[in-house]
Amino acid sequence: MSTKKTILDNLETALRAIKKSGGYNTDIADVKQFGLAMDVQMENKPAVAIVEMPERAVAEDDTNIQFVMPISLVAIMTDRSGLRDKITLFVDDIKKVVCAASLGDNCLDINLTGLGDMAYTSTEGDARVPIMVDIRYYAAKAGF
Amino acid sequence: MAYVHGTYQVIEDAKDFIVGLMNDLKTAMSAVTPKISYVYTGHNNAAMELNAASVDIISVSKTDEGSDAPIAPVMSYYITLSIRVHVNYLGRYNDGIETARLINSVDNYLSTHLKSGQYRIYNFGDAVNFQTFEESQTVGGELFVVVHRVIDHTQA
Repeated sequence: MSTKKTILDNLETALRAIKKSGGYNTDIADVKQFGLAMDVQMENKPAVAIVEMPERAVAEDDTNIQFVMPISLVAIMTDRSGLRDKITLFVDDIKKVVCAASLGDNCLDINLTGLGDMAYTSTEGDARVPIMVDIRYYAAKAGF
Repeated sequence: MAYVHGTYQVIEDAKDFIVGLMNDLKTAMSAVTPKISYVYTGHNNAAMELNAASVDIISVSKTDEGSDAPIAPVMSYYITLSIRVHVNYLGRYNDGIETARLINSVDNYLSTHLKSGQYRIYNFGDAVNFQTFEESQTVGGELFVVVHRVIDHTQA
């Protein structure tokens, strides 16, 4: 069992709930986890890619270590009609999920830290916006 | 297992005295908003849940109270303890009003529960707002109390 993997799986589940029927602006088609940003490819869109970045150990006591795990949530949308408005609304949906997400007992905090530039990719024909979050969690020293 | 050499563990016991009061406060203020939901026995904590209070030892001083000292000295111990209230994690909203309210609750409770057994709260130091706590990666406020105890050391 992995504390970190459980938290990422919980985040994926929370993001999959982005549906118009749930009060959001978008019907999400897919969410996937990636270890490298260069690997991000999604067949079904609108989608969110959860991309891991290097985590830091920030505090320690006799039994636990606290980590901050930065994550890039890449919002991907391919609808050419009204794309700019739609991806802005999609990004807001993701921010709303992030601010309310409960990611399990070991997750202390999830903090929205910023958004990157919107990028249009001619090869994929989609627009992408990276949303940066810090996930603060702890794990027992006895096992990760 | 003994944790110190000798008869008295006065420094740590003074901390336990305050930790006990903080746990009593946690129960007493359960209907208050904001409230302290967790009490920790040290500032260094990698798994701190909020809102929390933590207690730790800062310093100890002692004075000689015995009239025939130093042959049979009766010593007064003054242990300075730090009480922190934690309202959010590092990088998040450092709510000064919430912190001030929690400090106010702590002050009200301690001021009406000054003594337990041989320990008593002798003095209150400054309370400070808008603090950043590296040991737990949190933000909040801190206040200081001085706990007093008299010990008559049996001479070897």
